[in-house]
Amino acid sequence: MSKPTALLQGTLFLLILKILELEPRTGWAISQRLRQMSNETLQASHGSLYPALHKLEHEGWIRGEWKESPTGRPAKFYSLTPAGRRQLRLEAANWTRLSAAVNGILESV
Amino acid sequence: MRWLRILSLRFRAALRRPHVEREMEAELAEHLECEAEELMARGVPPAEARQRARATLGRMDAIQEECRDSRGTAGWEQLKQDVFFGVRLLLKNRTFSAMALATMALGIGSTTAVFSLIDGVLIRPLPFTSPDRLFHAGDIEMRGVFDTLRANSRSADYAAHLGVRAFNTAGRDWPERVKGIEVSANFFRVLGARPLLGRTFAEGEDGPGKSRVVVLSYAFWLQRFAVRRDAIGKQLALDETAYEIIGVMPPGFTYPVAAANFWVPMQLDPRDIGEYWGSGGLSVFARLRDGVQPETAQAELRAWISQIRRMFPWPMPDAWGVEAGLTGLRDHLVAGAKVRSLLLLGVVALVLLIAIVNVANLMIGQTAARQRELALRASLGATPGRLARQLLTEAVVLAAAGGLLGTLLAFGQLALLKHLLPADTPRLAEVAIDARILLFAAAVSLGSGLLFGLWPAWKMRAQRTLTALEGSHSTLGGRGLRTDAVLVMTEAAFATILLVGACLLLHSLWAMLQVDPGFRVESVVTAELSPSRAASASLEKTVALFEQVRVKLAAHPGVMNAAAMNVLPLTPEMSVFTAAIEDHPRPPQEPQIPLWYTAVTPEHLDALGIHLLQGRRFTEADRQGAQPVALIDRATAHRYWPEENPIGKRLRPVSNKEWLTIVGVVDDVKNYSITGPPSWVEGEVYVPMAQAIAPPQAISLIARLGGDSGSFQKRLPKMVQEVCASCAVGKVARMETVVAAAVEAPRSMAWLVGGFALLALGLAAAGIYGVVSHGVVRRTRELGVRLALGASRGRVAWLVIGSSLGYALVGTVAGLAASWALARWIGTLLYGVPEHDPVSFSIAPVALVAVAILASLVPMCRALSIDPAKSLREG
Repeated sequence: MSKPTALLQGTLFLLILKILELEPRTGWAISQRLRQMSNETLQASHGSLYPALHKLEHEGWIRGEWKESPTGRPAKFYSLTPAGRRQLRLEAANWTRLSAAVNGILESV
Repeated sequence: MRWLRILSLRFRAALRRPHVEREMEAELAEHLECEAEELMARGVPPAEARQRARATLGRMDAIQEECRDSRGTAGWEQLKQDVFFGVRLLLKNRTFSAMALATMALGIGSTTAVFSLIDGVLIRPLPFTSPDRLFHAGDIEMRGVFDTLRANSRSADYAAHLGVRAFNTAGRDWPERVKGIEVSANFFRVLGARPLLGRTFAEGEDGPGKSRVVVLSYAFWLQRFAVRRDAIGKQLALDETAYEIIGVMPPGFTYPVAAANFWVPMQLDPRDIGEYWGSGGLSVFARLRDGVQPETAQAELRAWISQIRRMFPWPMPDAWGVEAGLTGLRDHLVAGAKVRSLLLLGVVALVLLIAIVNVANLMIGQTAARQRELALRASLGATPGRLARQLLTEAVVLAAAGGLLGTLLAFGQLALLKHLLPADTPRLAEVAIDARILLFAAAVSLGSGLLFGLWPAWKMRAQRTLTALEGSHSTLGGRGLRTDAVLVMTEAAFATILLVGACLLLHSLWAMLQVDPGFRVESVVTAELSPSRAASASLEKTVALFEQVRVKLAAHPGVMNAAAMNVLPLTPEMSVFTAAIEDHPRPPQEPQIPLWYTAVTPEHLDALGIHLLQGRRFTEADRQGAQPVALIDRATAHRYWPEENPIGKRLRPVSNKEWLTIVGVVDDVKNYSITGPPSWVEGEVYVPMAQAIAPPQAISLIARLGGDSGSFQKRLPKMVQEVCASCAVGKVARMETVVAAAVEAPRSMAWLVGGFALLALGLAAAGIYGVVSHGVVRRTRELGVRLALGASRGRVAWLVIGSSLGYALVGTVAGLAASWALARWIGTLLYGVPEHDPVSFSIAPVALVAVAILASLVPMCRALSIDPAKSLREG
């Protein structure tokens, strides 16, 4: 059973939080948005989307609610909680710092 | 609020699992549906769309498993699995489970029972309001002292009670003796005890006015008045005086002793100088006033004591009362039981440790047998941590089951314990297994489970799983000591400590039973006789009455001698007077000489078979008005007149003007207890009943019989009634019973510790057996090779027995060393046996080694029956 590495999982969390910043979405909608945003590169991590969503929900960063979806069927809509908003700012800042550092190393070598 | 939400989600995930599962499935299905619709919109045929949608998501079950993981319920699930697996394993390995459960149940049961005892006696606060504010005031025994303190203390509220007093009251056939307590009027108020019915004493009811009121205990109310409420206001005749019943106490209230049937006000009359300042026996306690520290109250008490010393109507020694001080009331009450209780706790703690070690060893053996299963699990992906957790869970399951059984066992053991302990153990009636004790049992079970589960679990973490899978039998334990060997040695050491302790107590008990009481115990029947107040109005009348009763008994066929005395030997009742002795003057400011006091009729020496060593015995002529005479015992004669003839010497009770002349010396008799009177008593004196220093309230009749005593015992009360209808007769018993009662406390202690030591020895034997036989199984191949190479059977037998002996010897030596260091704790309980008693210190190791050899006999036979060829093939 190959779990995503810490970095990848962390990144996925960040992306999910980012996607949910604007509006509540269902899991599928999130996956679609992920695909669009990353130009299909992140499609491979679809399998880990739902575990990640459940994890985030259990951390209290997002909240899931069953509502009627545009398809007319009930679907679980995830939205950002205030704690999730704080977490997003934190992780975004972390990411910026980390990527800057990594870039710095890559460029200096 | 986030944590609240998280918590509710966790609970939902754990408790509403099916619901959460369905939600997850619905969510994933919705995802697939959307994905497929999207694909179909792009023109993919429905069947293929579904397939591709599924492919994008990956394996459904894996995703679901991961979702569960992220919900944080995985640990919960695994725990449930492990518990079920543990239970299944227990059911499968019947022998292992039975042994482990029995061991745990015994260990936890014993510990729980003894802990409930300790809790009830030593730990639980007294059942009064703010019990920590109550203190016992030591060394204040006189009414006058107490009365002055009570009236003047600003830091504490002083109250007091006397010792148990027996009153004559009407019984079914003839008068009975019932025990009551004389208390100060504020007794109940200071304790903070309220009556169930009616009222308690009003202030001043202990004053000179002689209020005849009585408060009943619940038990007495139940027994005499069948809980009728109209008992209040009725009269109760005590010593032929009518007392008005004013109140009934609730069931739990029996202070200061469980035997208290009722409470009456004590007499505090300053005009009665002799009683007010002269008679002691008062127990004084105090409740500190709000905000007062114990030190402040004690300082005030000491200050008052030095003032009160000058208030006595006679000069008091300077040393009087300097020891007066406050100690916690509970600590004072249970001081006598403390050493015994803590010793018992130590003993059961050792038994529990042995039990834990035993089960740990069983578990290690069990784990070794499961090597392959565990290796298989490891190779299938279980981490060492996961396996360790599984083993630990199994251990805790075992401990929980053992704890449950043990708790059930504890109820029985506690009943047995209460039965075995001396009835006068303080607060024994309060001892019970309640919710707190059950919590204790649960904690001990869980703790022991973790303890004996940790060994195999820890071993598992270090285990190289691969070798086990290959199935290679490890050969010889050449590299250091194996864990199980170390454990079994520890066990042997603990068992040795218990054995030494038990041997010490049993040896001490034996020494006590060998003590010559100084009189002939066989064929003597005794009874307590208490005449009514009217019948004992004067010493002359009382003595005449006793003589009538004595003659009546002596006339009974089979009775060889009959006599009367104020206090029986070996009976824990104080009978002391203070005297001045000729040739041994003491300055008046120093305490005079306390002497043991026995008033007897002339036949007493014959009835008890006490030897007269010198001088003459009492005769009928030693009556009131004649020259006062006394007998002393050999030790007293030796103490005061080692070189001289004591006959003709004189002594004088400080309360009397007349001197008593010593007319004879008799052999030493054990009065008060098997070790004699308290050590501050400086001599023992007999006076004729007819010249008694204080008129006796009750006497003990003694009759020596030629033959069967059973029918005489039965007829005795009737015979007394025929002479004295108003006399109450009680405590009819053979002298053997009186003697046995004198060693009840050490006997019960010796039996209890002995029983636990035997249990420990049995557990240690089981442990040694387990490890040795496991060793034989493990070394089957090696032993086979040895036999094949021509090792003699004797050599193989020695290999097995030798290992067992090795464990026992190492354990015993360690145990003896520990016992040597621990022995001083038990020293205070020993009589006639040094704490490092060579007998006990040799019997214990011999017993342990013998048991170790016995325990290795079966494994030895198994080793001898190994077929070399077979073992080599199978290896």
